Amino acid sequence: MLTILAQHAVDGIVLGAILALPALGLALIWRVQGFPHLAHGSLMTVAAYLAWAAATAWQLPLPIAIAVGLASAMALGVAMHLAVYRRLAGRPMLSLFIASVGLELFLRYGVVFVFGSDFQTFPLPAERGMRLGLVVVRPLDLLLAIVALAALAGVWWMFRGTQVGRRMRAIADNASLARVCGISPNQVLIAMWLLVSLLAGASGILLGIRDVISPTLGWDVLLLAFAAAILGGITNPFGAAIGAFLMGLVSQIGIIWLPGSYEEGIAFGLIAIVLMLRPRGLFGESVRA
Amino acid sequence: MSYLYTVVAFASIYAMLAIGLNLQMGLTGIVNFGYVAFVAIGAYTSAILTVGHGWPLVPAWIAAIALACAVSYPLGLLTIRLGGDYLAVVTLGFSELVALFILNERWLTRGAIGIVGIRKPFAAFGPAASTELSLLLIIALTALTTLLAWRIAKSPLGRLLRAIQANEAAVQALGKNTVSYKVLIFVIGSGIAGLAGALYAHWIQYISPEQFSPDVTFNTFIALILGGAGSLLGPIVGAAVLMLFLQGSVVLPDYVHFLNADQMAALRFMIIGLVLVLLITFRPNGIMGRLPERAARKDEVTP
Repeated sequence: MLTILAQHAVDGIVLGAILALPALGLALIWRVQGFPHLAHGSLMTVAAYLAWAAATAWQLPLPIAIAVGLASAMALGVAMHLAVYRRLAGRPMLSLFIASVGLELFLRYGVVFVFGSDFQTFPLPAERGMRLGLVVVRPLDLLLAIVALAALAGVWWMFRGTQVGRRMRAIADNASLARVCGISPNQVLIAMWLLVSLLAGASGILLGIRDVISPTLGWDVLLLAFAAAILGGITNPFGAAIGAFLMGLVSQIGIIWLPGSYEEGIAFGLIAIVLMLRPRGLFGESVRA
Repeated sequence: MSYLYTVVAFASIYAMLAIGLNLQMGLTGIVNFGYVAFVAIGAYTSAILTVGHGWPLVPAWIAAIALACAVSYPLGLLTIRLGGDYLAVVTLGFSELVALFILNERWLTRGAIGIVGIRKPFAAFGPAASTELSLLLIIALTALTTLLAWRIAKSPLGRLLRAIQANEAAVQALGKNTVSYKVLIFVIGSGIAGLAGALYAHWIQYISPEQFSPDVTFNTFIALILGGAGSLLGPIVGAAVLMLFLQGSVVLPDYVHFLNADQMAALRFMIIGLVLVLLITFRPNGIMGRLPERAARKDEVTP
C-alpha cells in the first residue's frame, strides 16, 4: 500500500509541476487583466506542435526545436494581447472572456488545419524507469519536474529581484496607483504576456514530450490548470502554483480509490469544496464583507 | 426536403438554447459556460425514461425540465455568490463532470455507444407526417419560450434582474436578496436547456456523449452574440444565421477541391472563432444591435 501511495504521490508531483506553469500564467492574467483566459491551452498546443515540426520536418536538434516552440508561443501570446485583449481594455470581463473563446476556437482548429488531427510524438528513444527507493520514476519525468520547478524559481526571482517583475506586481496590485508612479502599463503588459506565453509554451512542450501531441493537448489540461488557479486563489500567482501541486497530488492519489476515468472529476470536487469554505481560494485575499 | 427540415429544427432548437442563455447572460449577466450540461441532462433524461422505462413523451419531457432545474439549483447556489469570472470556470468544470458521468455510467446511459431508437413525437401518424408535426411542435415550443422570456423581461422580476446587472450593490442596498433572484433565473434558463435537449433527442432519435461537447456551449454563445445579447429577437436571428453558416459550409466542400474534408471542417470553426473575436471587438451588441459606446483609452489597464 505504501508503495502504491508513494508511486501515485510522485506522479502527482510531476503532474503538479507541469500544471503549475499554465496555472501561474492564468492567475497572473486573471489578476492583471481581470478575465479567465480560455485560449491559454492553445498557447501550449501551438508551442508543442511547432517544436515537434521543427524537430521532425525541419530536422533541427531537439534543444533548438524546443526554442522554436517557445519563441512561437511568446510571439503568439503578445500578438493576441496587442491585436485583441488590449483593444478590449476597459470593457466588461465577459467581452475579454468571449474574445478568448474565439481565439481558442481559431487556434485549436488552426492547428488541425495545418497539422491534421492525428496524434504525434517527439522522436525520442524509449526509456526504462529508474528505481528510487520505493518508487519507479521515468528519468524524463524527473527532468520535466526539475525544469518546471526551475521555471517557477525563475519567475519567483523575476518578481522579487528585477525591475520589470516589481512593476508587474505593482500593476497587478493597483493599476491606477502604478500609473501615477510613472509605470507604463503597455510595456509591463507586453512583458507579462511574454512571460505567461513562455510558461504555457514550456508546459505544452513538456506535456508533448511526456505523452503525445494532439490538437486538444492544451485544452485537456486547461480545466485542471484553472482549477489549480482557483484552488490557490486567483489573486496570488504562487498560490496558483501551490494549488497545482495540491491538485496533482489529490487527483493522482484519489484515483487509487476512485475509478480512473473520474480523474478530472476529483479536481472539480476539490474546487467545489474549497470555494464553499474559502470563496477566494486557499491563498487568496479574504473576502471583504 | 427532410434535410431542410433538420436545418430548421436545429436552428429552432439553438434559438431556444440561446433564449435560455439570454435570460442568464443577457438579462442577468450570469456567464454559464457549462450550458451544454443541462442540454445533455434533458436529452438523456427523456431518452432513458422513454426508451428504457416506456414513459409517454409529455411526462418524460416534464421530467427532463425538472431534472435540469433540480441539478442547476445547488450549482447556482454554490457558484452565483462567487462572481462572474469564477462562475464561467466552475460551470465549465461542472459540464465536464456531467460529460464524464454520461461516458462512464454505462448501466444508465450506455456510455460511448449512446441510446438508439428514441421515438419521434406523433409516431402514430406515419413517418412523413410525424416529421412535419414534430417540426411544428419544436417551432411552437420555441415561440412559447420566446413569449416566456418576453414576459420575464417585462415583469418586475426582469426589471430587478437588469438592475442587478447594472449595479448589484445598489439593489442589495434596497434590501433585495440578489442571490436568490439570480439563482431563480439560472434555474429557469437551465430548465429551458433541458427542454431543448429533450426536443433534440426525440428529433435526432439517437444520442451519444460526443453530441454534447463544449462546442454546443460555444455555438450557443456565438448565436447569442451574433444576434445581440439582451434583445428579444436577437437569439432567434443569431441561431438562424449560425445554422445557415454551419449547414451552408457543409455543402461547400463539394465545390472546393484544394482542401481535404478535415481541413474544411477545421476552417469552419476557425471562421467561427474569428467572427466571435471580431464581433466582440467591433459589434458587441450583435449584428443588429447598436454600436458600442466609445471604448476606454487604449493604454488603460482593466482593473
